[in-house]
Amino acid sequence: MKHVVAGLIVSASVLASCAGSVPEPDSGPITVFGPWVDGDADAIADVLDGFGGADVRYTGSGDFTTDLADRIASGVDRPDVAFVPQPALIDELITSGDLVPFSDEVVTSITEGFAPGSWSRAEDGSVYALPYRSNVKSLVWYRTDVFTANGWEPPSTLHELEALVTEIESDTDIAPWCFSISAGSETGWPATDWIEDLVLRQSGPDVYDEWVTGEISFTDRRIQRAFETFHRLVLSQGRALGGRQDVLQVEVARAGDGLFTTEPGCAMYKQASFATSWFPDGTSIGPDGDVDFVVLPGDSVDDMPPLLVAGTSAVQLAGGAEVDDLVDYLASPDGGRAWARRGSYVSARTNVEPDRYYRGIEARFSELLQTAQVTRFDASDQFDSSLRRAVLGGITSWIAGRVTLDELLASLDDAASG
Amino acid sequence: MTALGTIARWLESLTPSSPDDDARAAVDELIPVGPELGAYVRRFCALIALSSAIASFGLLADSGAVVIGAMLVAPLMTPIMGAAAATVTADNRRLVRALAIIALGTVLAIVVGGLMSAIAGGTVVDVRALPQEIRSRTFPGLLDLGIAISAGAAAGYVLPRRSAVSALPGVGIAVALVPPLATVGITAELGLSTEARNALLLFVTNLAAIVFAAGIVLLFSGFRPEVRTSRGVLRARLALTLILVLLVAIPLTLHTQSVLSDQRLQNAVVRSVEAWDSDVRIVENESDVVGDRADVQLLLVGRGEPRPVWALAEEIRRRFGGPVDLRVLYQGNESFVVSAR
Repeated sequence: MKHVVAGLIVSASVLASCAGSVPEPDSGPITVFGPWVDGDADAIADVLDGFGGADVRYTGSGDFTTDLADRIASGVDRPDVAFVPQPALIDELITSGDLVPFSDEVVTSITEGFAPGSWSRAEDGSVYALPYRSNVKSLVWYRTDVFTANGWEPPSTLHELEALVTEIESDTDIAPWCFSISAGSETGWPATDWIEDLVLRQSGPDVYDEWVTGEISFTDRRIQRAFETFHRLVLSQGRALGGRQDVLQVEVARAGDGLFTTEPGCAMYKQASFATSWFPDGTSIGPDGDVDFVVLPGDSVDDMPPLLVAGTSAVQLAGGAEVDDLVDYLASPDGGRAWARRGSYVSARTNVEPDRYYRGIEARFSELLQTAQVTRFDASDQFDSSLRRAVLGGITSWIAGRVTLDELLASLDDAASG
Repeated sequence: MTALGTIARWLESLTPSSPDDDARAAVDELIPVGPELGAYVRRFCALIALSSAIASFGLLADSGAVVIGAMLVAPLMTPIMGAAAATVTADNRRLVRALAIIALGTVLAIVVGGLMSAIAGGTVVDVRALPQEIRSRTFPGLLDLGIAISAGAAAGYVLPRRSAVSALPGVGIAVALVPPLATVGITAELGLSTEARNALLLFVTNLAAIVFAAGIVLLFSGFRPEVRTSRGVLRARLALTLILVLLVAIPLTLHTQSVLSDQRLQNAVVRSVEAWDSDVRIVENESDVVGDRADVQLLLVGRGEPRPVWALAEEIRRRFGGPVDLRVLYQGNESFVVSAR
């Protein structure tokens, strides 16, 4: 798939270079393409309705990556703006010359309106991606009443977390973790989140970056250590609700159900900000609510723990004043408020007021994104698609006991070099 | 009201002759009075219960023939015609008696429908899993109102003419009073409140339209209040039934519009698929208009890989003229989800 996508993108760029430059939009409506369907498609359509300029049409596809390559390759169906969830794909589109650098006005809006770590300049100094909507990944959810009744405190270091897990396992019938990885072709992603968070905490952001870019191998001692810690903390006998069978079979969206039963099956649930949509209706969140969260702690109590994030960025595939204006609108506070007021929206924007978010919890997530000292994008979304598939499939095989850790890491190094 | 009065006066002017004794007797005998009333009510209840049981089993078994059988057993037409006759003759006692019997029959038929569903209905979670005979009674439209008005007029014509009484079973089948009530009981027991409400709407449509149309035809046949002063009461009652007919016509019109817009969408989807990829064939097309949005689910088969599904969603949006949520299952194993706004 990766090769097909890359091939189509390269072909598209060749066509584009033959034509002289990235095409200007025709006189029809501005076309926007993204991965959001159903309710999320309604939300972005509502946002785009708020653009005062030209008519804008949004189409969202569940097969966004393949379809985007297809549309670029066709030459005639090329969208003017796309929302891309994979930074690796954005890099490929920059390299192939398919993206238009943002106008000075857009860059100013981003500089003034977004947390510094949430966006970046490309090697040529231009800005090509607007981090429109984000997720915070490094969250550990817990039931406040269960923690209070058992006298547990949310941990403030990884060491305290390990001690708490041991205490929960030995003193109660509650499993320390709610955890599962079943998600169709994406099975395994909650495990990659765990490992990425541990690499970031145990070895720091520089090692994390080198791992993402392939400068450090999977068999490197520091990466291996994260896999071992994950195994000890979550996969060992008695640590996850239902054991390996449930870890492999329960749908990811149902993994947290055990947290909410009257007699809880599990005490903690590590999952991203979007997990709130999987909570039972009416669940209140906060120190005095039904559940609350802590950011997965770091190695030391003094450090503000790093944040693993994911999200979707707007990129511009066509030039022209109207398209520039649309992207500038998306970068503006109004472009964020329009979705924030509908709910299910988190962003690293510094100029959208907390009370503009539909729920207080979304303002809290957004504040986390703005104040975190270290944020890193989900590594598996940055791996090229063949390595990503190898990581997801390999980790699933390892959890199922079909391969040892050494075999897994060696195979992932092979996949990374292939 | 004034307009209705004018119509009533015009009808009176058209009907110079009063009905003969035989015609009056036919109408008077609809619901017996005195000691025979008790036996009539017992017989009525037994027939309603049996008719509703037959209708319920027929509905659950999705058997149109059995449901028609239930319509022939159903005795509800008699008190409804009694109510129509009592309306035009301004006979209060007969009207109250007829309405009480209709209410009794209505409740009994719904309860029996619910009981039969509890015994034999099983569990139906998705409305689409309901038998077609039930589903067809949970979305009444203006056509149903037209049927009920025509059948009511036919009943009003047949009633005072013993020579034409053989046509009454046809009238009963045309308006089908008990099956909608059995459907109310079945869907309510299954927890499908919207469907139960709609089936009840179908029954009320039939009831109001028959009383109104039969009343007008009886008036046309010369039936009048015996006391001249009661004619104001007649107009008021006819106005009341007309208002009821107009009230039920509102949701029926909305339903009809919804059916028409669903059909328009279905056509747009078929034409879009043809324009999108002529090698692809539609096996199943479940298209509904929800609010202003098209909710389209397609099972498609074709040769080789299909053209991109986002292009199909945009084609449907262009032809339909509104937002589209499209789900495609291709060759039974490839699924695609696209939203076009």
